Amino acid sequence: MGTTPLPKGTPPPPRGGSTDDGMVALSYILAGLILYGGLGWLGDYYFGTTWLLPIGLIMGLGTSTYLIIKRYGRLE
Amino acid sequence: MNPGLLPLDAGGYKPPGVDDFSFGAAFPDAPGWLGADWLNKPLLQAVIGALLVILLWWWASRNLKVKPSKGQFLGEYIYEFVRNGIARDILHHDYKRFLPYLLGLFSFLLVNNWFGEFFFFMFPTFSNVGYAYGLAFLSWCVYVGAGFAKFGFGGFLKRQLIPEGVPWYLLPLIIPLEFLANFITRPITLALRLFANMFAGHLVVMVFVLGGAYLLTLENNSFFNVAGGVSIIFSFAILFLELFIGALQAYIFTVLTAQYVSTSISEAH
Repeated sequence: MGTTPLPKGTPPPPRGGSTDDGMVALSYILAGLILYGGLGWLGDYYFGTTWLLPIGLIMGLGTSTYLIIKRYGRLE
Repeated sequence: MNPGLLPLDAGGYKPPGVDDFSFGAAFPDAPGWLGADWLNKPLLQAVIGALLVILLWWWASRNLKVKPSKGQFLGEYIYEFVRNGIARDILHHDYKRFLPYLLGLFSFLLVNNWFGEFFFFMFPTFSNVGYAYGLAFLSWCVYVGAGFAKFGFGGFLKRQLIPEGVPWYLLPLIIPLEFLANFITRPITLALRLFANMFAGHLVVMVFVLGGAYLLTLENNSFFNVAGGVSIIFSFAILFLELFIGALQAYIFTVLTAQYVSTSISEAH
């Protein structure tokens, strides 16, 4: 089938769209909250405490944000 | 309870709900496996959708001319949209190997999502969550398999689980998180995004059409009749919105699959 080739000498387009990266980053946020929030909830459940779940949620969000900055936040 | 607004208990109106998304056997009276419970409407739609996609591309790749006919132009337009707009933009020079999968994925999703707006079908296949999970699992196999094929088992896991420039004392925190994000929540969010959009859209359409039809045929209340008529007319606007959302979700699913493949085969991330 006929397709339009890229014109010679054009620089490659910048990597991905910002929206796509945002959608990929969503899985990091969710994973952090689920993993460390879940561990915190388990800790609360077994030790009978109430402060492990919020700590876990905040820690999960923190590590997620750190990972997103590491993966996507590098300046070209 | 209900301040006289709608005579809910009088007319036997059952609001559309989750029950409308489960189907029994398509041919309950047929003998043998033809009458089985698993042979239901969504399954038939998925099979018909796959056949339609095969037929469409078979037909689009026959009798090609230098000066394209209208049909050939349309086929080439869709093909170029996926090839240039999705595959080449995201995967750069590796795109050719993944183009068949991406094109098949996009057209299969588009056809099945648009089933929700077409007569005879009137049901988007992917508003049944199992189908969305199945497709997301297929995409998962493609992007994980592509990574294993390129870097080997250990090399790919190391690339996916250990980001560059993270100090060693953070690794115990990071590695399980990376595993969960890259191998588990990615396909789940992919599936749920598609499923929830199709489910909610179909539910809204049903509320407008079924509720409108009920109000329209209610006796002795011309205000409800008018409201029902307006609701049915408005449902056409919702159906057009659903056409747009179906195309958008097919596009997003394909773009994200390409994006995941790109992150698992890129040299430096």
